[in-house]
Amino acid sequence: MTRRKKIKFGQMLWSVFRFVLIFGLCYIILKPFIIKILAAFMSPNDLLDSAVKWIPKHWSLYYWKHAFERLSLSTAGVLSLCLSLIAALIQMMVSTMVGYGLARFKFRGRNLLFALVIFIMIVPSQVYSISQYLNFRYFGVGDASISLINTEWPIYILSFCGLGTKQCVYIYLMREFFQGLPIDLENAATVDGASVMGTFFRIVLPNAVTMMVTVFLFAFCWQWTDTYFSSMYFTNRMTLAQIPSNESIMRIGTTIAGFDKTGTTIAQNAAAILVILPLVGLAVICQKFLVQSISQSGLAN
Amino acid sequence: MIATRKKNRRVSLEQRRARYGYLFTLPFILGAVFFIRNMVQTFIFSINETVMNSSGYTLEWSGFQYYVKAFTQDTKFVQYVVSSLGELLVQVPVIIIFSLFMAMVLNQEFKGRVVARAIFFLPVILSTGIIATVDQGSNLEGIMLFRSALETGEEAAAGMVDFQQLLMSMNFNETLIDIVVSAANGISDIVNSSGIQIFIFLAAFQQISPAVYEAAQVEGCSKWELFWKIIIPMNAKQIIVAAVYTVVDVFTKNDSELFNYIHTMAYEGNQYSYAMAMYIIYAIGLGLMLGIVLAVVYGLIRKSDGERR
Repeated sequence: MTRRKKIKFGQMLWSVFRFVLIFGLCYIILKPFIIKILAAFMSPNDLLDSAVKWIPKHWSLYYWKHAFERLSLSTAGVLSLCLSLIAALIQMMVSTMVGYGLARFKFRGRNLLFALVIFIMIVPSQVYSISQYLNFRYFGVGDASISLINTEWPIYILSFCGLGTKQCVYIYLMREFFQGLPIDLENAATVDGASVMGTFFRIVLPNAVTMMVTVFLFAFCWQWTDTYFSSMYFTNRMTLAQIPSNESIMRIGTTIAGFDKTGTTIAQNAAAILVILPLVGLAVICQKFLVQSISQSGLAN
Repeated sequence: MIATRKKNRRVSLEQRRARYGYLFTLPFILGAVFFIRNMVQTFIFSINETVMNSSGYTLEWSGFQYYVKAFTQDTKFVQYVVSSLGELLVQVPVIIIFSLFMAMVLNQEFKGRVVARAIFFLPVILSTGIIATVDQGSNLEGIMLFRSALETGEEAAAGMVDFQQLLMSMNFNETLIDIVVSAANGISDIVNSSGIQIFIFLAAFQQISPAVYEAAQVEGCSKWELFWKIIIPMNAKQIIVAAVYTVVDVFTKNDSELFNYIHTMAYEGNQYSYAMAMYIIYAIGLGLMLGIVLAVVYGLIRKSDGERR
């Protein structure tokens, strides 16, 4: 009897501890976003009021409106959308292909190629960014070179070569997935006379759909929020993600004397929130799906 | 006669499979060639006196003087490399242990589990890229706290204002403040970089059949033994994936002191060759480190695997 009581007490203690832990950690994760969102709801007059710290006194949409206007959806928005969609599509297809090739075929240099996947994953792109930039600035051979800067091509070419943002991680995941997939199905198809390509398109791909969608979503999100590569390859055009960090675009007119910088920072953060808003929706919707597909990835055995 | 023909056919089948292997990996073979070319070019920049101008760049042989300089004259560089590699050695195990623990907690039944999971997943998408860039420019939290001081001209403090100064202004002991601040920053760093790992483990736990736990409990297995002898070995592969991913994530964050230092050297000091030499040294150090981390993780797993048998 006492033992059972002890266990029950222990369980209660644990669930209290668990609640505190999860609540605290969620607070740590969400706090910066809550601050950004609340600040953007302030009216300009609230900035003058030193009694207002985090929670606005006079709620207003002033900063949201300003941020939304500066985002120029018709140019930057369209560019970002096209770029993210096409790059994610290319990355998904290439990662699937290469992952399958590395997992299922034996050929000379396979291990070397896989070692390179790992190595490229860990080498920060800053290391070779200047020579990569020069390659696209003077694309071609000798005098017949053209500049691909300010076009979408550098990002598409990198995606096609498996060098897109974090793309080696997808190749790695895909390889793990295909290694975990039972080979019997493919063998059966081969015995029935299907060609390698036929097997790939009709047997392998349908089995890999969830994994491919996962890769697509990640690739889309990371391309959408990317500022590093975009700022390197786009100098006179801008993607949506580049705008919030650009102070001169986001500068808010001195509506209230002396509160220029604070207002600009609030507008910048509001714009950043607006840019990632579609992704948050996506993450919440896909969260369950993602767990399922990672567990299918054959990462377990 | 028949035997040789059979043998020939088998070889040709293997060769055909190999050819398909090349075909499937062709895009990445191109990528690998491109990558190696970039690395070689970076290396060439580092052993030459590189001057950038409007029509490209000019090279002038200078040998390995920049490598020597990095180790002998530049005190900051060595210090930054050691501290950033040391940070990695601490962060990788902490992140992995933390995400294993969090995955176990999030795997239990409780109210609001779906919401909690969604929140833990958010940093995967949000903590990189745009939010980090905006925060780097100017920290809203600090600005909101000290906005009147900021706008009346104490501009110098703008980047610095934060939690630390708040504590300072409340007259706390200075060493105490340092400990509290670094712990608080550390926790949020770790939580924000464990998103994917938590999900990898969560997915793995859901694949372990409940019957295994039940059997272990019936056999009188303690929770500790359950963890070390069942959960860890059954998730060995995920631990490696998570370790690799963590190393990648920690290493490629672009807000480290080292990268800022090299970046300033390249773009403000116009010392491209020196910057390239430092990058190369860093990349080599990185390769060695990853080798060590992987070897240790493999070793641990093999050990616990051996114990199981």
